[in-house]
Amino acid sequence: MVSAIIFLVILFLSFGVFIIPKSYKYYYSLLLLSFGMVLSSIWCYRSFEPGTGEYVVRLDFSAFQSSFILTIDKLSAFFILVVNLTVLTGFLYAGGYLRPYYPSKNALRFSIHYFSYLWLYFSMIMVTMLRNGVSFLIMWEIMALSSFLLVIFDAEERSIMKTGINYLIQMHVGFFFILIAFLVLNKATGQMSFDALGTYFASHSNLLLFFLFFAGFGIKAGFIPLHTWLPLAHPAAPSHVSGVMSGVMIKLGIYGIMRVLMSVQSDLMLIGMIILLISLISGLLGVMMAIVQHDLKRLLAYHSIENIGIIGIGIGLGAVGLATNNNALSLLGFSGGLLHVLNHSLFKSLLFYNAGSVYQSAHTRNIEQLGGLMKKMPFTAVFFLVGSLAICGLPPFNGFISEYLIYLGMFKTLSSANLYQSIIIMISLSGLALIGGLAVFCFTKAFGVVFLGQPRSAQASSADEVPKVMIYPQYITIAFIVLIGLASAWFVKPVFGLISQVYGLAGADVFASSPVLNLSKISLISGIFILTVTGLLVYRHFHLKNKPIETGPTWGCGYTAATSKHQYTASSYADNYISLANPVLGVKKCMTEIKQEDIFPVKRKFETHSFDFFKKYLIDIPINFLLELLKKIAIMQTGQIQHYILYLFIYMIILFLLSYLNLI
Amino acid sequence: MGFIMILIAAFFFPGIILRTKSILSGRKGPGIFQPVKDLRVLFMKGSIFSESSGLIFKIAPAVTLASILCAMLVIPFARQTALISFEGDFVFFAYLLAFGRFFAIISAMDTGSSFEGMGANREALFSMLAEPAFFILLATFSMFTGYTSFSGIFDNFFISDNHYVLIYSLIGFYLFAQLAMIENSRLPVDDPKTHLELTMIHEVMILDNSGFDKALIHIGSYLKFAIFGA
Repeated sequence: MVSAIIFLVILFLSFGVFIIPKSYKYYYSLLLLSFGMVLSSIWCYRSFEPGTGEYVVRLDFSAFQSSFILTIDKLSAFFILVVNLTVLTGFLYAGGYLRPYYPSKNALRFSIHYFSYLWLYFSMIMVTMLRNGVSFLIMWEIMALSSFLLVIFDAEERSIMKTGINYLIQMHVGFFFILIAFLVLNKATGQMSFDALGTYFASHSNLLLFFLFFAGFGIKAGFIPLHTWLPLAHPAAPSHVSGVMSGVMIKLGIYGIMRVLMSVQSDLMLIGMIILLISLISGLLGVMMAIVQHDLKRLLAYHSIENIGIIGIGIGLGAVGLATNNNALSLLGFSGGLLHVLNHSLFKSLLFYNAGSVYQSAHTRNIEQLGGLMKKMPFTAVFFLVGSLAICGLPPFNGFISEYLIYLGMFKTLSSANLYQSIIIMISLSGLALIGGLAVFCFTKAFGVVFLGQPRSAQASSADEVPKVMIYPQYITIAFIVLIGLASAWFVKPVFGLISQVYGLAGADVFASSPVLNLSKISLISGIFILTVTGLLVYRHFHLKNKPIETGPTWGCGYTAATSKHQYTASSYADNYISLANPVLGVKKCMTEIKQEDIFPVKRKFETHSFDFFKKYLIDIPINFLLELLKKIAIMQTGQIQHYILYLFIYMIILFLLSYLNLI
Repeated sequence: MGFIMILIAAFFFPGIILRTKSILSGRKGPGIFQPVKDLRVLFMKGSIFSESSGLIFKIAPAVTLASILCAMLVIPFARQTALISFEGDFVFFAYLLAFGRFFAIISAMDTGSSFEGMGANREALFSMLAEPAFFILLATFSMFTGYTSFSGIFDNFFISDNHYVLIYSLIGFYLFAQLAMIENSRLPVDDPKTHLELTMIHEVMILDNSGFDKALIHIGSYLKFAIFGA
């Protein structure tokens, strides 16, 4: 009761951003944000207390006969905590990131930006707490609108505005699907709420309604082929916003899917299989397309699709486990997916922050123009490296833990599976392994080209380390990445508990004990690994102390006048991969071949264009068709008032005829 | 026990291979202790670092070696169980090796040399393609034996009296040998003894390493060889 009032007061106070002086706006927003976080974290803590497993915040407005109800169960609590963490680091980072924009943008622009950021946060946490369909949809809409306003912060650039509108439209398509799903639910049960799903699913076909929800939430999450807004919106948005959007906002799509899946009762096998298939395609195509990108942030955006795919693989396996009453598989699949939600929010936001730092000091996101930044920006480089290692799922970082859980689920089921299941598992297993290999390929390219070697342009060689304000918040993220990697059992146990309660898995404690034991062994080896590395480095240090150390030019096969242009570029790094994967990717190369009679070198051009199959055939071609159609209809728009009166007249005659014939 | 045996074996494998190769091609060849002697020479030497290289180039050899050493902890040798064994330890094994490889690749990129970039790129590509094969293979093994750790799987291979297992395991070991070719950069995937930079994979990545770091890299590749042998 009291906490609900405090929450509403915080919501109301957010309007104050508009009247505070420009230089204090940031601190005011930070204050409100932290109040919101403390309050929501307390609610999460309450929901973890033993008992019903739900914590309800309720405020009745008896005058209007309505009430404000927030229900926090463990699933919501998990997502709220993830949101809190990333939104906080994002806003702290924004303190430094937005500073160069202060002179060029007026106070109103900043007010709108901070206000949308606050409301993006409030809407994200409320989405996880609201069960009523109408209020859920309102919050879902506020989430889309506020993130739209955040994306178009740099709206002076026309392309950014265009991207923003593209994003807004796609979000509304998703909204439409969820709305229809709720309306179907309302028609059948008379209730518009997630709580009514159980009664609906008990008596109706599960498949249709689930996939209506899946389409709506899937657009938000970015499953292929619903992903086309992602690689456009993330590069356009300011980096702290991309970090928050990619780190947590798209995960609310996952939240929605998991919430609906809780109530699904039949057709689980089919649902699980389809989720698994879509996720596998998302994972593979996401990372395959990421490799050929030259824009650092777009590369990261495609990686979000890949990671959504990995999360989806976990969820799909969990659903298959539910269908076959294989509780161990459900537990490991769902937990792996859910833990990956947390992990991805950490390393992806970290990577986006550092991509933003690179953009801010080198003024370009094109990786072909960067290089050698590690010497100029050591902190950014090391953070980016940690993020890269974690996102590739390499131990001893956190990405490995969630992928390991998913792998373990697969391997454990394999020995007891029938032919049909083992084929599915084999395919997803090899898919997941290939995703891992491709991710390593992609991030060695990204890190190697951006941070190592020699600078490839004047902008890159004049880059400097970003201010400390932007570096400090990233330590928080790094700490969690390392902590989850090394002390995984602490984090996995609560997730196991959560999953077994939410999905009602009986006897989960028995299954949970052996993975936890495995994880402690992983922690052990990871510890040994770190000790070995430090040991070797210390030994190396003392060993080389009294040995002659020289620096010389890099070996160039006898040709020493090499310039930085001779370095291996991102395009050449990806080239032999493209020649393998081009049937799927369709990368276009534009160049003139060198002929035998060309003796002297002349100026040449070489371009590659990456291309997104789904964007072309699902978005661009239908839209162009629609535009053509609308142009034809536009003939009616003559601008002469006589014609318009004629249209009106015809319309009335039609109406009259129709009603006369009893057709309407 | 097994761990130490792998360590010892690792230093003799390359020597023996070199010797066998030489004898087969009608030359006398170096003695089997030659690799150990090479290492000693490298340890004594100083180092030269490339101008464009930085921190990564310096720490990468140590990281790679450490990753291989730690990956060895889960490998059973002959009939012994591994030092540390748990369910799904081969996932950990594969990813830890990938960690070392990640560093090897970026350290090659750090020199800014186009040759090393090329090697790095090939290494990344081949290992990427080998990864699913490794997982499918082990998944098949674990399907037959019902165990999900290296030790469990290999123990049961020897115990089982099912005749089919023998056939499957022969096929499996053939595939495994192919994978080992890729991992250890052997013919036909790569020829470590070639002298043209353009045709190398693993060797070209370490063109600029010298002295102590090079010794570490060599030890690493010997160990990797021994792991797959075991």
